[in-house]
Amino acid sequence: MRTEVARAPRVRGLAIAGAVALALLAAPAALGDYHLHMLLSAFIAIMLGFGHRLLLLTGQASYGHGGFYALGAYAVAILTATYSWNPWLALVPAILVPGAVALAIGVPVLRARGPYFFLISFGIAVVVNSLLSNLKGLTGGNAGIMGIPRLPGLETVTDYYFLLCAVVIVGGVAFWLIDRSRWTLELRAIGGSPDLASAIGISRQRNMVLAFVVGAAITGLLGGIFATYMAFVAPTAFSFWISVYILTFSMIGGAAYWSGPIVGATYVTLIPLLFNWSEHLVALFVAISIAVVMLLWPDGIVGQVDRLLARTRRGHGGVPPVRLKAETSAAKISAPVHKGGARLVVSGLNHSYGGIRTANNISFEAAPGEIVGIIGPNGAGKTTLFNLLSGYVRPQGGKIVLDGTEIQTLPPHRIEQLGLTRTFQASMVFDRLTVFENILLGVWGAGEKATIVEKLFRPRTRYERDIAKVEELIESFGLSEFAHTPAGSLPYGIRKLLGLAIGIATEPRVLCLDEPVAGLTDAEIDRMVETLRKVHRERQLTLLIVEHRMPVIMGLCDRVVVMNFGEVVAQGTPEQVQADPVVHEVYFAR
Amino acid sequence: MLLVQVVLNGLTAGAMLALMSIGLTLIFGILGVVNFVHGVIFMLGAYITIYFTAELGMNYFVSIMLACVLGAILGVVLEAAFFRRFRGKVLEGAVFAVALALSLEALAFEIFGGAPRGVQTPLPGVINVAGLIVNKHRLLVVAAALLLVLGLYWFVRSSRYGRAMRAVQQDAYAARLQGIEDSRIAVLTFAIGAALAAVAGGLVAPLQLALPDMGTTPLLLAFVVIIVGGMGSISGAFWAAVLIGLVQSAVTTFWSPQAVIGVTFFIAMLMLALRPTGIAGHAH
Amino acid sequence: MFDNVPGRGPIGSGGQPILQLESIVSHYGDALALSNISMEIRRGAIVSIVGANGAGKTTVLRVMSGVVRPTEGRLLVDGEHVRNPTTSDLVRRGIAHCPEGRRIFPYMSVHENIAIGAYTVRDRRLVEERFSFVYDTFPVLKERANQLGRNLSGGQQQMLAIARAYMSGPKVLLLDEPTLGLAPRIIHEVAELVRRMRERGLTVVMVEQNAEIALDIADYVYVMAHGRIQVAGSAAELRDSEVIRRVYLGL
Repeated sequence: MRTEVARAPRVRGLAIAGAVALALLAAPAALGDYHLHMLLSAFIAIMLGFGHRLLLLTGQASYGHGGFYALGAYAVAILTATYSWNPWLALVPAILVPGAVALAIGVPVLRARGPYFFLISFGIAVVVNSLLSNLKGLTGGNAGIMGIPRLPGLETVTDYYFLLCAVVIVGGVAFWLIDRSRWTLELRAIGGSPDLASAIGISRQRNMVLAFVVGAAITGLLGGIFATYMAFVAPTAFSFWISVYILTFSMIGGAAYWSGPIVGATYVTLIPLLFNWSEHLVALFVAISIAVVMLLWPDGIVGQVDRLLARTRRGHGGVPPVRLKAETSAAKISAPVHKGGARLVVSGLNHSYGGIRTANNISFEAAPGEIVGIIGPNGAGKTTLFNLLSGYVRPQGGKIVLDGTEIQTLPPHRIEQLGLTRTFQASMVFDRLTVFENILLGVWGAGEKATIVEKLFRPRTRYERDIAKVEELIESFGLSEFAHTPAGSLPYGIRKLLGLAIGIATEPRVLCLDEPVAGLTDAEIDRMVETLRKVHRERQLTLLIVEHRMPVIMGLCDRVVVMNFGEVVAQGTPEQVQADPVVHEVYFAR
Repeated sequence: MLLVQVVLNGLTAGAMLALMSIGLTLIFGILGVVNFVHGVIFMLGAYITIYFTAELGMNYFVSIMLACVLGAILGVVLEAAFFRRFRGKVLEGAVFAVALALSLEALAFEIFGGAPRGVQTPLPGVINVAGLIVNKHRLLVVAAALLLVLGLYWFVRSSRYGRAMRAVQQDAYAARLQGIEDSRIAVLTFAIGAALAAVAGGLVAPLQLALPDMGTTPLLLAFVVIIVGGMGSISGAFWAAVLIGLVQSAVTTFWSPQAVIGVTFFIAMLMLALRPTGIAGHAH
Repeated sequence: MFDNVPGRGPIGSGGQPILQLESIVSHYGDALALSNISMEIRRGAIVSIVGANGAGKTTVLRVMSGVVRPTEGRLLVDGEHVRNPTTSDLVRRGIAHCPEGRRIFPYMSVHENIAIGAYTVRDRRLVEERFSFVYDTFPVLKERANQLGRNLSGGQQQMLAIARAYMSGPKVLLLDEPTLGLAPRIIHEVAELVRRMRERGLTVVMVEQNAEIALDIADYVYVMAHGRIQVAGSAAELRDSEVIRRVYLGL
């Protein structure tokens, strides 16, 4: 949705960036070594913030990056001072070693949810520190390593200033591109709703580990450069506080924004300059700042400013709506390739939890293009069934076959890639992303996997074909009015519609809908049912619907499966099921 | 005999760790808060005890009790003023807690200065127990810790509030339906946890010099303990504390003090990889 | 003809309703959950709320027990408007909520589960008295007094949940789907229990998905769908009508 309105701020932004860059490049002419040193520290801080921000987007934080910084610094120190490597060459291990450590820790620990990773990350900084003190032969122990040569070609503070200025500019641009790329959106999806992200094909594990490793590698590189600059490293220089600072740089500005680390790092490194504080006072200042931000401004400084600006913007007539469309469009939802529905065969599915049989020998089949309704009283096991089908719970017995492929042991994102998508009752959309971004993620779930370079650097606006699909879906679902509104602020009925749209966007061959009309008003139910019918007509996909509204089920479904106590108690056409005495017993019998 | 000495030291370390970790595991298990401020409370417990005993000349045991009470009050303030706002937001709460802890630590550096403080134990010297030389104060630490842990265990098992705490931990919604007020339980949990940490600090004060950052290592080890023991479980924390205390002692003696953290964190990671629910298997 | 005006209780029972909902509107976030709900619960009655899933039945109970704060409307206990209904306050006023899915404390013994039900009760003797009644009425629980809650069967857990709710000495017992997932034989026992509770002087409000059970036990029935009361009347009247079936099966 490229409108003319977007062009103006773009040009202005570039102009500002250009002016800043020029100012930075001209600085050495005006400033002495002391101030250049301070600016250069700020540059390092900014890059460290950028590196850590990737992980923050996914909803995890690390208090261990100080360890990676130290690893990078010491790698360079040891290789250059003790083994006379060329310092430029030594930067390579400075990147690889922290990356490898992050990989080794990230793979097992990021699998768990909750604060475990955060706790373990503490250990990283601490363990590295203790290693540095202990392996005296290698690291010189507490005395450290001296005489680290400067990078060949760079002698003075001014030279290093230019180096780091270049690093920050290149890094800043790179991260700016990454921020506009597909990968960042996927990371934010994981941070917003990990379950929904898996359901549309985003691998939580792989992406989080990659974010962690990239951050660690960048941190190591900066540590290495820092070592050559200071010419001396010792464990005391890499205390636990460094990890705190790195986390602060990326959080205090606001992790959701590209400019967050810039603001955060500048705030933390340069403001104390104004007051010439002691080391402890600075530490106190940093810590209090982050405490206050977490308490009052969870979106960070930039986030707070953004919110204020948005309020004033709205007061001045607001952002112009792109198009106004209230009704569901009569236009076809066209898709270039109709894969058609898949056959889903479930046989003998078993699952127990805490001594209760949640699934007992469940067997049924959904033919390609069929609409199957799943009904049953509360506690019958319908949600468990969906969780089993979509890979969130592994069955203890039985098979699920999707067009000939067994999927019962696969993780959710793999199942999505094979063509089965499910929706959720709770967390049905990504609240912090716009409607457009939500559906775009779904569309990406349909396509072939992109290459890494593409994923990282290709701006989202360039995915023309995917964007066309998104626009079509938005129009067809009648969401044009809300295209660039954050999904979380939309009314409930619209969010549910969006949830369906995301599911459809993944071009599934089997779509599992979990209570698609729960909580909707009568008018909204009609609209949803009409949309479902249209979608089914166009795409002929196989639909599985868990619902309680009998009129909806009976009117929409080709066949109905009735569950109770974790078992299938009846199957058949709606008429058959309505007349079946067994079903009556389920709902009415004593 | 070295082995025996190592074991005895390990038990002392374990006793102290138990006091730290039990509070930590209760706070996490019941409230979902990762309380990084625990290390600071431990440090303050030591400083308060030293101040009242060495500066004001009060009885050591009375000082510890005062530290205990003040610690409890601090815990109440922390919960009511801050952690209440992070209910359900574990990561944000954890980041905040670290920042707060570091603020307090830096403040302590400014106020107390970096010079170490100390206090004499009221029980100097050693006693001879069946041929083993045992430091009297260490015996006191172990005895006090055992008493407190047993007392807490009894409280949680048998008293009305203790039962309410366990109820909130096992099913907060059902607990609410019985008329249990979540806020009251939260405050109580924090008070107990903080009191234990402060007492641990006071007990340890005569054994080592007090510095404003003395709480960091015990805190990290306490995290290892609650991961290994199973977050939320008192008995798990107890046995894990004994284990880690012994590991700490062994590694310090046979390898080096700086290696302790490395080894213990490695154990924690192993536990997370193999049996994430810890020794206890489940929280209760 | 039965009474199509929701909220009118059995005529002639006299006295103040022990529990009242007046024009309650409630939301989950911005999804509408309850719309214009008015109910009168008479002392000593067994009232059942039936309807399909998603009808809002559980939400009604949650409003009654203070778990959910309504967006509009009033809650009255014994004729008194409760301004700031918190759960702990309502428990002390005599409303005990036995939740859907029982939710007994899995790692506490049967005895402890029952004991925690008496959390708000300070009088030792009362607690002991109620323990006696509970153990008499539920011999199964007495046998298993030291077993952990998680080791009980579904039916036993339901007994335990009801026993636990009883311990607070309630005037009104709210039961959310007490027969859920239970075998027919156990369902009978639960039904018996509910009657015995009434004999003890309790008023019971029971949410049920299974309409026949509800009609069997209750004096008065509210039929809900889509967050509204569709129809209400005495069990006798509704038993013979097609209305309930129509509401459920969407015919």
